[in-house]
Amino acid sequence: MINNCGLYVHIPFCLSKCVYCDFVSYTGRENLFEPYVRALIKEIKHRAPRFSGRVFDTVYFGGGTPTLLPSALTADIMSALKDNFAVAADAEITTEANPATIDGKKAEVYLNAGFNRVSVGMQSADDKTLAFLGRAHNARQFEETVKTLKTAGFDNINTDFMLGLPGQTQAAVGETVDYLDRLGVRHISAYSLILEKGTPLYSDVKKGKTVLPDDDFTVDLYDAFFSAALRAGFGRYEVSNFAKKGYECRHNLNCWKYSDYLGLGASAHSFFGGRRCFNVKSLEKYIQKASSTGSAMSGSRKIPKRERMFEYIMLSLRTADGLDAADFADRFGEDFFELYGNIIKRLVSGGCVAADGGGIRIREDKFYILNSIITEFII
Amino acid sequence: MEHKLENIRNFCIIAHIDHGKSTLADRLIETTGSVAKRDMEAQILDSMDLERERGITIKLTPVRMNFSHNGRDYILNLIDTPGHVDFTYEVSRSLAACEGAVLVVDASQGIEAQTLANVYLALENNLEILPVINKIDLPSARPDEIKKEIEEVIGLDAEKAPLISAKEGRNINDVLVDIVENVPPPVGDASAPLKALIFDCSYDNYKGVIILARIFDGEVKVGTKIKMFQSPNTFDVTEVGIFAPGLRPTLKLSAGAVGYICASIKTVRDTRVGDTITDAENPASEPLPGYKKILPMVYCGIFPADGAKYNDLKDALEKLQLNDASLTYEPDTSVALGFGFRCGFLGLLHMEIIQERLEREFDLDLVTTAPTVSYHVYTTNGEMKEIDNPTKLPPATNIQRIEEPIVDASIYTPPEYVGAIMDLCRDKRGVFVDMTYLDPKRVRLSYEMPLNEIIYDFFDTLKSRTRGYASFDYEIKGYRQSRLVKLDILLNGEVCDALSIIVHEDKAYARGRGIAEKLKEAIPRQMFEVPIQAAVGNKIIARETVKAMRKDVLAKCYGGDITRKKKLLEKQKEGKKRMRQVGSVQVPSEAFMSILKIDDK
Repeated sequence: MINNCGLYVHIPFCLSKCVYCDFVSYTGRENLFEPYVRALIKEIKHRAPRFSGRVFDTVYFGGGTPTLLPSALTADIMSALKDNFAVAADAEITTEANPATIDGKKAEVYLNAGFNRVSVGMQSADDKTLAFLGRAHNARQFEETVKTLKTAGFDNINTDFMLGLPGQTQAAVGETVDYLDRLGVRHISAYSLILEKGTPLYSDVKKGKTVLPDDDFTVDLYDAFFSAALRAGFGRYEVSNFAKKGYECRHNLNCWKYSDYLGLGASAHSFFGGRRCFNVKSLEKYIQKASSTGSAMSGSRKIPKRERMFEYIMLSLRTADGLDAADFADRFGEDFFELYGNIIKRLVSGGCVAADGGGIRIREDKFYILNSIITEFII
Repeated sequence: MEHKLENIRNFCIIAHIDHGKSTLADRLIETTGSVAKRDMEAQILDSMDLERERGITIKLTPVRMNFSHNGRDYILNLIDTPGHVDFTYEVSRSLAACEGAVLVVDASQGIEAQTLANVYLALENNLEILPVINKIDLPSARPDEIKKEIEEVIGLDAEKAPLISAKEGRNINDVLVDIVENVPPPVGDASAPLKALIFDCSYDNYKGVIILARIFDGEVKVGTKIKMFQSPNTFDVTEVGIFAPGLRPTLKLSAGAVGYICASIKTVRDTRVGDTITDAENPASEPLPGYKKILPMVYCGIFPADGAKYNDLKDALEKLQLNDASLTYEPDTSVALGFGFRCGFLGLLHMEIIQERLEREFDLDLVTTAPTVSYHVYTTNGEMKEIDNPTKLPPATNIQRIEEPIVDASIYTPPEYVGAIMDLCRDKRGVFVDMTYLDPKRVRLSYEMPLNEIIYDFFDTLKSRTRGYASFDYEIKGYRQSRLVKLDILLNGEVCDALSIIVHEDKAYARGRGIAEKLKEAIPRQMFEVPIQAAVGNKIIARETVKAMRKDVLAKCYGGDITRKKKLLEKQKEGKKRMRQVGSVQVPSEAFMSILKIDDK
């Protein structure tokens, strides 16, 4: 497990910016597609030697909207990765995609480049809601995109689905799950809308221009989603991730299981050897730095053991499998139950976690208050 | 510099809050040139920020002024008086240090209740009272009517009262002339054994206690060995002097003088206000009359919001007590609030002032518990216990009876609010005693009321029901048996000691429900449902529920989010740390304060 390793490639371009988004992404910079990809390939070449001997079993293109790039450029990145890193033959290779940015031809190029999983940002199946969110697509385009991908041969498709949106009803949420299942979607990331400072939505809500459902109703929506997902055969394997059996996202599981990952591209974060580092955020700066030296790192920090132990707990408790005490001992040389005995006892008696000799996991009905549970472990 | 007694005038100013006492004092100081103009800061006498903001005087600051009239040089000692009912005793001691009092009356509002109480105090101390009518610059001024009112209500001749505007500095000289001509000079025998009245004291890090005293007989100078009648210790005087304002050392203080005395005294407990200083080697046979040991009337628990600040709080209380002997405190522990102090105060204002000073001057975050009075609890085995902390109340089965302090309350109001005030007093278990029309526009209502009701929201309610017109004054009358019970608050089934109160049986239900409702608002949702119950003994009389938190997470967390997520959780943890753990329940500090004011309705 410790040897698992993921590759992340950040593509910071979007057609348009969504009202809730605070990720690093740029619109209207088509002229920078090529320079960016060239810089990225330079970074790949520059960083690869340090990872010789490590096998990467997942690759993930995230954004932004990776599918906004001309597919030839994407294929170039992909072959640079394969040329410079040991990408496992059975690696899970995902790209995020937005509806209306992909067609049959593009899908075919992706398939040939080695991609075997596509994560489609649906967010909502309702046109009005999509407009409210500032999404650059409508529901029909989403459906076409999934069908196109299916026809091209992509079986492993994820969709992102947002809960806690204005006007959303429990019934509609359930219907959406069934609809996605009928389309052949294998994986659903369902998460609640999070207000991030600095986004247009944040200021609208603060000003009272937009009213979001309260936490209680959002939980009702989530419950509706949850039971519909179970009925349709999607199992929850992480707080906000549901999959048909065998379709769990290996890339993200690696992250939650505290495996190493290497992030490439503007603003990308990496974690390996107990160290976290991150690249410059600005697109121009990234291109400039990576093109000249191959390195665009803007900061790096060795995480002290105490903090790493907390991060490990924080991430592993997100998963349905929970925390494995043996793995904890392997990584940190510490006895999990001895270190956190009192806290665990309190949480078990409060009905928040289930413990057996091998580890602990959050009880299904307490996933909603995971943050509060995890903070108990900050000592 | 030796002054003849007939050239000294010791006086104070009596006025209702807002009627312009401090402004007049400033003008007097300015007119006599006692302070260079550039050093004038509005309201010189009120030296604490808090006093300036609230327009009240807490600590006394005397000022010595020089004034020439008809070719003679006079020394005028202005002794300031605190302006609130909590400090009646201090007021009486300041008055005892004077021969005269300037009574400031607002030219449009006339005499107020509190003024009247102080006028009577001044009359009891045989002071010459000089009425002055202030704010004649206001369009609503009606000086002639006010003069008549003074004559009718107090029985003073106000015919020649100076008409002034302290704000505009009009006719201030008239006041000075009035003082010189009509306040009697002090009498005393400089060769008799020393007798000096302590009317206030403060603490200085270098000089020790600074005693503010009026010398009645004898003299005191550097080297005099002094002792106080109420303290066994003797002290060698290191410095004497006058207030110019600010301390100015002099060679000695003789009979008739007002000044300060320092004698390397380490604690104000040795220098009780009202006590008499004498010469240890040539003592006076009798002290000056009027000493009273003052006892706290209102108590509350004060805890540091951050438990680690316990020692800071302790140091701060020690420092405040150096200046304020009427503040009492002793260590207290609460299961909910940890280590803190049980503090006693003269009254509610005193309590508020101490709390504010702790927060401002010492930068402390405090959690205070509901104020309470001192009960006399008679146990079944015949003992009497004074209980000022609800958690110390013996179990009901061991109590034979409880007595509570009763006050004589006087409420002064325009007649149109009499009905509203009577309703309020009835609500507060008041017993009607008397109603007097002081004039067609002013009524005095007299009630006997439990102090326990007064410290709970009485003053605010009175003000709001009378649009601020009514004023109110009280005096402790004694103790009376009453049906009192302890009201406990249970959080998730466990009693939270810091929330317990002692309350009249008939009020328990309403208070319990009120507190439970407030707490429901103040306690954030937790990982589990939190029942809030109010109980008297084993009987639950009210219940509210803080529903379990249903969601605090449903966000994604992938590789790039980890650092941010971690910071978010750490922040959340910090927030939790600031909360108090009551059993399994996290209670924010504000929750303890939120119950202090509850609308009974």
